[in-house]
Amino acid sequence: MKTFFVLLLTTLVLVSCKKKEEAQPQSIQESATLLYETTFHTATWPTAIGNHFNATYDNNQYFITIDTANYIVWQLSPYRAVDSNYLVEVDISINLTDSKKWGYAGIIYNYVNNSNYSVFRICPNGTFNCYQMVDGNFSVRFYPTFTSAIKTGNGVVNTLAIKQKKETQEFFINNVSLGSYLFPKETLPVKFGVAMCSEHTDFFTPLNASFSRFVIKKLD
Amino acid sequence: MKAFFLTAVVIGSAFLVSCKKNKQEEVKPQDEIVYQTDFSVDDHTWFNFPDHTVKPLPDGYYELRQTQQNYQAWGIAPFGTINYDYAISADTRFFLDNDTKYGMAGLIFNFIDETHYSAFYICNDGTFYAFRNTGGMFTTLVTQTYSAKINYQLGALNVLEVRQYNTGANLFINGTSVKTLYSARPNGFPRAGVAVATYSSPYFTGVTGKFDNVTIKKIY
Repeated sequence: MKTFFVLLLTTLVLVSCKKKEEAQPQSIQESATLLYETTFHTATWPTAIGNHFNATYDNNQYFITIDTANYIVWQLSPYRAVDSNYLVEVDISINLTDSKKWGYAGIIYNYVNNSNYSVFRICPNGTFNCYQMVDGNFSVRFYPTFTSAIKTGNGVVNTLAIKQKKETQEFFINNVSLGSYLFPKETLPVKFGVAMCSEHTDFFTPLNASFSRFVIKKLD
Repeated sequence: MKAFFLTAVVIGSAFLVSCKKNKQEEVKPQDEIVYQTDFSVDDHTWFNFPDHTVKPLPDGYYELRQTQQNYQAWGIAPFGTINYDYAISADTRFFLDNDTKYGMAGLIFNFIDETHYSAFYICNDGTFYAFRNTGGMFTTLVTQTYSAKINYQLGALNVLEVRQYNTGANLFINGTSVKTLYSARPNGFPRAGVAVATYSSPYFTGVTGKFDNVTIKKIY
């Protein structure tokens, strides 16, 4: 009986302490298995010379340019589709011809097909935004949101990452969490890549972006 | 038996201390600033048109102009990840093309899109007013109400704030709560910003708003 009471009280104290621990924010570092990594030293991603964009390798970097307003380009990584929880990460540097205008580069993720995918992207003015295509219908998840986590200006490298778990997506820029949101995992396996977008006429400027590292990890 | 009671008392006290600690930690947290600008630098994150312009150094502010009668103009803050109770505040000044007429300046909140938002305005007759637009259907939240807290001279400083909770909102003028609204925070990620509005004829004249120190906070 004595032992029972002692154990009961001890358990209560420990449960109370444990509750507090669970409230702690998570960091980007957690147990993960590397599935794919490239620093673009070998040309394994698709290249293209288009009417309004180019995707090429240049100086050991993957390089995309857009010279037309209201345009989106993406290129998928050569890695197979993933159906586990994951972390995808990319190093990006953007150059806007007119730095007072807007243009974006980032990650295309949860890509199922050309009508179902999401894009998380940044602008050199210090904002990020996110949108989703669902059966070809465009839906904004986050409108442009300023964060001091972004290193602003042309030609500066920023690291973007997304952590997808069963019910949530957590967004990171330069290892700083931008928050975890209720966006559940796709039911189908998904692919990843890089994406770039130009603005509509009022805010358009030609832009290019170089991608120097791309990583996919399976979250354990 | 004595030893048992002693052990129980010690562990019980430890548990009570732990509970007390947890209780102390449940004290309502302070507001947390998630976005703030004094417009002293134009970081090109707010809309810049001839009638929506960031005027940077030496005394930065954001200027909005509306010259069409019975119309609004707004600038939305670059912060789109609000999924919690929040507050927006701004230093607000406004001027009229004809100072014998009337005009308004204030805050836009719960902004989902151009036909789903709420607005809180002060007028140069010393009144304030709030309404909600739901898909083009306008609902008055507060009829034009006189408040001695308004500095109604043209160009005078008024600090306006909306504190939006899950089920209602509080409107503040120069630090004083002037109205409680039973108007829920919308689902999704509402945004917020600043706005001006003109009257219809015969009270119509062009309005210029100057806004500074726009702050968005997470509140509890």
